[in-house]
Amino acid sequence: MCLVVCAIDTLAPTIDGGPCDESASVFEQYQKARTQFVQTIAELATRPQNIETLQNAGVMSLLRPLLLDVVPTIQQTAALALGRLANYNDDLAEAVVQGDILPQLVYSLSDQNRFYKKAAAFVLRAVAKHSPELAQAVVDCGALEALVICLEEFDPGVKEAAAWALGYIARHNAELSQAVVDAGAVPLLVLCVQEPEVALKRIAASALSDISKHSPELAQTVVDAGAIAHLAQMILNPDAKLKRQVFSALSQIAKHSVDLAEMVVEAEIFPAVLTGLKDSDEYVKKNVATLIREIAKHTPELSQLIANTGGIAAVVDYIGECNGNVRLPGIMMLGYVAAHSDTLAMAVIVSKGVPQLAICLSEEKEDHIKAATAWALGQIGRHTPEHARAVTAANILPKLLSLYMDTESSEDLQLKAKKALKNILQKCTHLPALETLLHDAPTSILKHVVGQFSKVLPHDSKARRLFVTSGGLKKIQEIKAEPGSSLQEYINTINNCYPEEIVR
Amino acid sequence: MAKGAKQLQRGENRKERQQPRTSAACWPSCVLRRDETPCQEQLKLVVILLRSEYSIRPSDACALSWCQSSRPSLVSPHFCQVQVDQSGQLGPLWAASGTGSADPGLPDRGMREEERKGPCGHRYLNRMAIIIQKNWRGYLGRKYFRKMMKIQKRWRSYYVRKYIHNYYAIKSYLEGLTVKNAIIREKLNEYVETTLKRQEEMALDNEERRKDYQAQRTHYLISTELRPGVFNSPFRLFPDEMEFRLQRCRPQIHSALPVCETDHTTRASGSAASFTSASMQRLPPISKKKLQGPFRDPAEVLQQRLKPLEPTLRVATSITSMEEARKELKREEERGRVNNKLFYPFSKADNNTKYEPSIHSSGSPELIAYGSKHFRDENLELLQGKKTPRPKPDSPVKDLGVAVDWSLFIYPDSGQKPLRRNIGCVESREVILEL
Repeated sequence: MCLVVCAIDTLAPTIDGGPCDESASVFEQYQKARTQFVQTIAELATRPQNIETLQNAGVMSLLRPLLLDVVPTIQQTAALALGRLANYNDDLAEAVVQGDILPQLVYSLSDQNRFYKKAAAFVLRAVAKHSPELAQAVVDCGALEALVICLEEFDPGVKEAAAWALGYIARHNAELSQAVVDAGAVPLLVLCVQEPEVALKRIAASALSDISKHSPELAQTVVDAGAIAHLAQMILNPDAKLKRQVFSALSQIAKHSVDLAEMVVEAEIFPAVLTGLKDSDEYVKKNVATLIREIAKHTPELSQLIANTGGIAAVVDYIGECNGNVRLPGIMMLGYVAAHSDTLAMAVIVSKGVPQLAICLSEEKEDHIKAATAWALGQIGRHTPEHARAVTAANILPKLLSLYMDTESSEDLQLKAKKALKNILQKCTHLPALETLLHDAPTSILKHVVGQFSKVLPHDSKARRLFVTSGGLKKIQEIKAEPGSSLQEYINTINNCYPEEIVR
Repeated sequence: MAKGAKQLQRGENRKERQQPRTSAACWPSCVLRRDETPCQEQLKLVVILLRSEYSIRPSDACALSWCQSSRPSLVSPHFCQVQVDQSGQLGPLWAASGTGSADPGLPDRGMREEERKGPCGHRYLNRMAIIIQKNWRGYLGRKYFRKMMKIQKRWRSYYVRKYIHNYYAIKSYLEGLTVKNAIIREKLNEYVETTLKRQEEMALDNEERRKDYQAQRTHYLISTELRPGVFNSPFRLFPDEMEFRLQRCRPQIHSALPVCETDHTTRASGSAASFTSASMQRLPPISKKKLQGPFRDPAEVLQQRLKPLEPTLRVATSITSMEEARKELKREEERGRVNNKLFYPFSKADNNTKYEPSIHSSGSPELIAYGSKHFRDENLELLQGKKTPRPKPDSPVKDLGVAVDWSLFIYPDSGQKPLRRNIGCVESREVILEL
């Protein structure tokens, strides 16, 4: 009996119908409409051509109240749509900032579920990536603490989004980087690097790289958190994008000072790092070469260490295999190594570096790469006559001269070519190579060429004979030099080597 | 005394050596330059008297002669040429060279008139002496310096060539570096090859898996007996590889469907027909709600129910284990025993005694007749001509070879029979001794 009564009671609201039913359906309709609207906007925002129209339609002001919606899915989708819009260009990002959306996002970062957190972190990242001012606006909203709390979350997707946002904030300048470090992000990022998910590792390594690139103190903070060991473990990981970020981070750390470079080297990255030079991904190779360059730059001992592990040969091979901007760090590395001492320069020569650099010099189209090559060759050839001979044997002097004389070369290139020429010529005793320069060199270079002749000819009779037969002496006579200048002195010295009748 | 004289001389010499180095006296006479051979003309000494206690020595002569030859400007006409004999015991003689008026060569140092006037003036002479000494010392120092420099030059060249720019070390280093470079290049090429190979393998593997997955999904395209499938065109010589894949793979099972046997007789290859396999068993359902009632946790119950048997050792051994063990031992013995002779250790090799079992344990427990039933002295005819085993008087009595009064063993009062056992023991020992 009582059961029947209960049944009737339970049935009562549905039977009743009327206003309850309608208002429920009205709410349902509204919710459906909102959901549909937000999802469509999010989908449209993925295509760049739609965004203009959306912006003109005033989508920002429509999306803002939806962020505070009751239904969680609408909130999340609205945040996602906002993020995609802000990602596209900085006007929209500014609109996001001006619309006072950020504080709301930051506030809800702490208590919503993981999808919302991901979407909110995405918005913050999209806003912060455009300029330092926008990033500063993000920081001013107190986003850093919230993001650092997100880094402690369990879900790897949330951690990835938070680390990405932090990386983009820290990228712009040292103050923002310092703010990120002060929020306590670095130890958590180091923990993220150890996680098994590859995407999270990538982003965390990239964030560490962005933090440590600005100043030695920041790099030291990253090192103190124990980042180097974990980064070094990932050197042989098969994922190419991860390796890019790892090598970039290590090179940003090593570039600041000798101590940091030594700490990176102590992580026993050599010779495993040399396998990165043979990777199929171009940017991995470039970043490895950058890392080796930053280490070799500091002291002769570090360069010696790299040479002893066979690094020079690996870099020379790498230069041969790449093209364009990718080989620039390798070229600079050879220059730095050769600059330290003549033994190391001889090591570069012995590793067949000079022919490779000569090929670079002739093949490359960009001026800054040619300038770097010229500089590197100058550093190799400037130590002793042996080195100069090895450099001139690759027929480099005429090329350098042409680079110097070319009106289309940039100033930097001309300067570097001239310096390199001068350095090599001052030690060059290989006369056939010098003779080729006699004919078309400008006065500033000719001075050095003739100077070298004047040093060598008085002592070598065979060379004197050759000089005459090859027409060099004739050329010398044709040079007009101001009396009293050093050029004239050199000419006189040369003329004195020969009997009067030959000199005419 | 000659000795004393010598000592005195030596003492003097020592004193001389200890004189302050203010005069040319300290300089050894060997420091003449080689191109200066003192000839008589050159040894025209200029005598300088600084103080009366100084005396001329041959070294002074050298110094001064050098001075004269190399620095003639110093030696002005003011200094006279005085001849000195080799003993060096002359007093100074200044030949008056004129008035001693101001010589244009010598600077006027604001000397007083009387000083200038007299070349023998004390201060003037002092100054001149200082000039000469200065120059001499300078020359000497430069000479030593050149000698030192020669040594240092040699040393530095050796040191640099050995430690700083060791040509041979650099050469061997560069040779080693070339070798190392070649090794590294080789290794890197190997690495590239292996990675490429691995990537290819992985790609192939992925392809295979993808195709197998496709075959699983589209298993219904397999050809039947009646109708050939899409991949098994009758116009081709042989079916497509997809056909073989379809035949090889197991079709996907949707987990909600009941496991059923389908008709696989039409399969050409006749491979395993069953859909069921051990791995397709269902896991127990996850119960979210607790059952109402005084029920124990099902996990506990299952654990208890399904606990495996762990019998104790006693239970696990069989009843006949002893017999079996014995049999086993015997079998082993039979199997293994080759030689029945016992092994005697060498310590007892010379000890060829046979083991004498104890009297108590050997022999029957029955009493022997002698000692109770008959006695030796009762059978006198047997004992005729036989010696009684009496010990000699001087030999030590060890055993009971002494005639024992057997009556001692008979207890008169109790009427008991004598302790036969003891007698028996004695008797048998006696018998043994006789033998």
